Amino acid sequence: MPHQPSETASDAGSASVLAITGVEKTFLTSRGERLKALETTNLELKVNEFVCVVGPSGCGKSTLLRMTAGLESCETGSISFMGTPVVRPRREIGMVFQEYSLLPWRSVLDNVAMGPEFAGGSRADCVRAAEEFLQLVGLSEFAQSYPHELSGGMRQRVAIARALANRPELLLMDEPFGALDAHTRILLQRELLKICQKHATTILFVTHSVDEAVYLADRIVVMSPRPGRIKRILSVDLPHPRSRGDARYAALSQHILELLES
Amino acid sequence: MKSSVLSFFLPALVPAAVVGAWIYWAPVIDNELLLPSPSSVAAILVHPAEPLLAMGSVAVNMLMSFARVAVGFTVGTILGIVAGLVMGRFKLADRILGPFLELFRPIPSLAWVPLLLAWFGMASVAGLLGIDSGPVYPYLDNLKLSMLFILILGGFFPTFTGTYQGVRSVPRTLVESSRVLGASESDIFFKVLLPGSAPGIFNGIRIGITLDWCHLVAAEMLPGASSGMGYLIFDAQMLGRMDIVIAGMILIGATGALLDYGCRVFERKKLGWSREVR
Ligand SMILES: Nc1ncnc2c1ncn2[C@@H]1O[C@H](COP(=O)(O)OP(=O)(O)OP(=O)(O)O)[C@@H](O)[C@H]1O
Ligand SMILES: [Mg+2]
Repeated sequence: MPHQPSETASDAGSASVLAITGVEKTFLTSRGERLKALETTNLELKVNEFVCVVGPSGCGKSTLLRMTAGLESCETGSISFMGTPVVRPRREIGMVFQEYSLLPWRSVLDNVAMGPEFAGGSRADCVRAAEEFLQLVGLSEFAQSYPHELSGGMRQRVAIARALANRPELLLMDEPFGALDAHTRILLQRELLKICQKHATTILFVTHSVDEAVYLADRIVVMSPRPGRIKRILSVDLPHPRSRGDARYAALSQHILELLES
Repeated sequence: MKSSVLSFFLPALVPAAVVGAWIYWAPVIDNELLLPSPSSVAAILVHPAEPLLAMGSVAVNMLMSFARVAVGFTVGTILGIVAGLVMGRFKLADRILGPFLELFRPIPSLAWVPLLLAWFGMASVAGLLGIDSGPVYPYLDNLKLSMLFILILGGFFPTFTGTYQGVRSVPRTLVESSRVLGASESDIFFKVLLPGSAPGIFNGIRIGITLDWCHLVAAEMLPGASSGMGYLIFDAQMLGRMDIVIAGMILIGATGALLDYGCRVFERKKLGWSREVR
């Protein structure tokens, strides 16, 4: 197994929320061939940590996230959340998809209320929770709108509110801002960080954008091309709010880009 | 303004021309067996409750036909939705039942008639329920099992196909994001797949109900039928009453069109979201 630099000193105080140990994934393609999507992967997330995963297209980032969410089985290795293995989706682990995940026939409010509703909450409780989180993402006035009446950025905010309304302890995000324009993207990144501070959540965030990773993450996982493997894990020791003009910001971005290309 | 008035009357243009031609030609041909006069047909239509010879009134026959379609189509539709949901969701069920259903689809419903008459004969819902008198008896006795079978079959396939394709068209992320939010298997079924395939289901229902209405009239012309619009037309032909035949045809056509229109309105009101998505 390739050597993985452990650049984060494991501070004994904070317990690990998520432990990915020796996980691999091989898909059986429709032509009957075996396709290795993910090489042996180890990763641990501490409470309140914000970890970004960057890597070239097809290196298994989504696969890793989907396995963590319990949407995809893992034959080798194990993924455990708070000490118990993840075998199916569970309420404590939320996920925000890249796009098209809101139910088009439900109003914004009813979309955000889905988690509490599935948990068997009363209608009043569900509505209250949904309203609270809609307010958090600044979309209270669109509660009665339908997803198709919103812009892409607004839809992703709804998706984030929906995930948060379930009060997850771990939030998985698969390129949630991938389809947005640069401006909206930066806006939502800022909002996400604010939300994270308010609602202490641990986040595993997949992105194509090195800049996004450096802006958001406490640690950045850099992956190699397919079959995906963790190439390096880097700590980002810049204080928030980060300035994109900062020399260290630029140097780190440059360093990661080089890692991705090598 | 002017053009909107015009476009309002546009759909009425051709029917009006047809009626006009009819009014013109009827006295020229002057043969009630070929082309009855519009006035005699209109007389039947404006007095639907008046008994016609031995056939009962138009209204009663209409009601009978309606009851048959209502029962048969409802049962067929429910079966179609359930089968479509299950087979659309579970590959295994699809593999087991798919080929079997495909064998039955191409068989025209009327091809079933000999077999159905042999199996069910004149048996009706009344017999099935063990009712042989009382106020509802005549109605139940007119719900012949053989006819219902045809109507159930006719309602089943379009709804099944619509539902099946509807389920298949529900994006995978909708199901997955719901599961991540804690949806149980029944939540997935009733809160994601069912509403998600509603446009497909509804499309099936719309096609199916008009189709079933056609099946019905054909089924009512079979031996043993003693009421309904199909029977009315068939019997009127025997008696040489073309005016009744045409009145019946107009009513059948209008009812079918009305059912279709009702479905469209419902679709626009309740399923508007589906046209906005992608
Ligand atoms: N269900 C599946 N069946 C077969 N192969 C799959 C399946 N899902 C993913 N793969 C393959 O696994 C590999 C990794 O896919 P994955 O979606 O995890 O990549 P990714 O890193 O998220 O890429 P991107 O950045 O483009 O989203 C790809 O080669 C893909 O073709
Ligand atoms: Mg991906």
